[in-house]
Amino acid sequence: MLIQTLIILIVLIALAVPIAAALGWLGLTLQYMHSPMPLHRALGDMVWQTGTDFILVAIPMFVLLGEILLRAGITERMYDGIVKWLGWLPGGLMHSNIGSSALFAATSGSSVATAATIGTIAVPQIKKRHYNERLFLGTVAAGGTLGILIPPSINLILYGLLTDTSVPELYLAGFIPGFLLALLFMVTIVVVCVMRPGWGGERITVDWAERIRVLPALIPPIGIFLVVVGSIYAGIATPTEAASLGVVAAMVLAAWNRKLTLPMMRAAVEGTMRTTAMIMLIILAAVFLNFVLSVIGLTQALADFVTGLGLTPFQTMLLIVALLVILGCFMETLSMLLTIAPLITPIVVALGYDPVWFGILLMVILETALITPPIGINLYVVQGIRERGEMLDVMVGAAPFVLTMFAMIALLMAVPGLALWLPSLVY
Amino acid sequence: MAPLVTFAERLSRWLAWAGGALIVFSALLVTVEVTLRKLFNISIGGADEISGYAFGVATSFALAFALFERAHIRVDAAYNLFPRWGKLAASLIGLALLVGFGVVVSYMAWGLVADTLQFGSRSITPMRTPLAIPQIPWLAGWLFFVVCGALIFVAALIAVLRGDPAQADRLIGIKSIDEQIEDEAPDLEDQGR
Repeated sequence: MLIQTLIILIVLIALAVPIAAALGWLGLTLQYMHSPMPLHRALGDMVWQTGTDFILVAIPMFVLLGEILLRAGITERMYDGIVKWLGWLPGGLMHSNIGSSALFAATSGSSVATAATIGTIAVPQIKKRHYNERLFLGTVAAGGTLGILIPPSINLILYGLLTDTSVPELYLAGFIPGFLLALLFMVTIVVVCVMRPGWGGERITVDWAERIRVLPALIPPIGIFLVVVGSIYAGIATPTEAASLGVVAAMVLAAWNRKLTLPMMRAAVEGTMRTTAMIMLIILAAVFLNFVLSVIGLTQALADFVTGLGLTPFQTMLLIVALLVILGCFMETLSMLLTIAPLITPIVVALGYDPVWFGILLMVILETALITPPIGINLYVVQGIRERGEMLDVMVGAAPFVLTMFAMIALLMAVPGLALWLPSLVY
Repeated sequence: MAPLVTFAERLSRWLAWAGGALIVFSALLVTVEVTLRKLFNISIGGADEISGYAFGVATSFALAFALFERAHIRVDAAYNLFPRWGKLAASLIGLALLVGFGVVVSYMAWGLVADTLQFGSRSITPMRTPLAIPQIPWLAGWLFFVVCGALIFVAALIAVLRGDPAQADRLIGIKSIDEQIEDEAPDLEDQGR
């Protein structure tokens, strides 16, 4: 049954069948072959219940929030502001790429949007300031991945939904690893630029007066971050409510900048609805598939198979991480999260690990998947913005950051407290 | 055929805007609810329920738009190695499976709404919402998705048979990365940076 499932899935995905259809038809086929009950009868009710779940309302809200900030020019000004603050470090603008990505990620939840936005603003600077092109492109691709981990992340909401884990707890757990990873990226840049001084581009000299002058450009994104995350932990709002507050705050900011126009909002909701419909169709299919998998006993079979290997919990964990990293090279992140989380998490918990900790670990692995060839969507996005040269440049440039992420994965496994300490203070 | 597809595409965009308006409305509603609850200790109640329905309807309204925009994720690792006819065949199969899944969901959703109407079902919440109100537009969105999918399929098939693979590709092919970036980071490039 395991092998059969795997083969059907691989064939469907290799034929480039839309992921939602692949998961849905896998569910329908498996129930037809293995289930004594017509499980698809539940599909109408399931699609209605999941499709109107208040927790998931956070998805269009966070997407819309990012779209508004982007289209109101707030993100662009933020980048210019961060350049003034981080540009003095060895590696100059590359630190701004990471810093802006982290901050943009902290307000929206999308990795592609982060890489596309920061990339479009940053890439023209490579020639202007004589950076090493490969490394510079790598920072854009790597920075874009931070959106998955740094709260408020849509992916953490999905993980919480699929594994019955508390989303606020996951958000708290994501803080330290998220910002630590951003910091490690910056350390990587410094190390590379100290070893190869020619790669760091021209130094940018900015005086303090200039830095103070650009501060207002940083206030909006930080303010929105505080509204969204602050309201969750002040006990004022649930994640979905916080996302709604964020949308309204972003609209107020856009209005303040005289950018809140009907064409702007129309473009913003168009992008939002396109993304939402795409994500939701996959989620609905995945929820149905998971229901089928658990009824026909495949989830249990997989768990039995893993325990039957006779490995220690730590060895099993290593095996799981290795398999997921390899899988991440070939699979698209969202589909990977939706298929893997409900299957693997029960096994991990049975081994005695914390589901919150595993959620964070899984996010770092998914982030790695975004920039590991051959399938790493951020690599493609960055290459697409560049419009010339070879794909290989981006892959090579991103390689040091893949190593940094591996270090982060090892660090999280060695010191689970990185994720669990902050939630332990509150819960 | 072509005018029909163009009309359906325009309609799908309008529906997506309508869905987006529902999301913006939900954001405002929830903000008002949270503000009143915290500042004045007044609960208007039901904002979560209403925005849940709005979300369900908005999503189903946007399904067809996402289809026209070719936004449904497909993995192109093997696809890129296919010859041109292979890509078109894969795209036709993929679309048929996607719409087929939509047919199964719509059929079951139809049954759910029929039950709702027959029994006059209401939500098990203080609002006791008659479920037919949100469920009928929700079902309509799914049906529109299926109809648009069938239209696109036929239009693409005609294009293939006429020997116009470029047109078929515009309808059902996988979006190139440039097109995706155009979606995600619009306008910035035009500002001459």
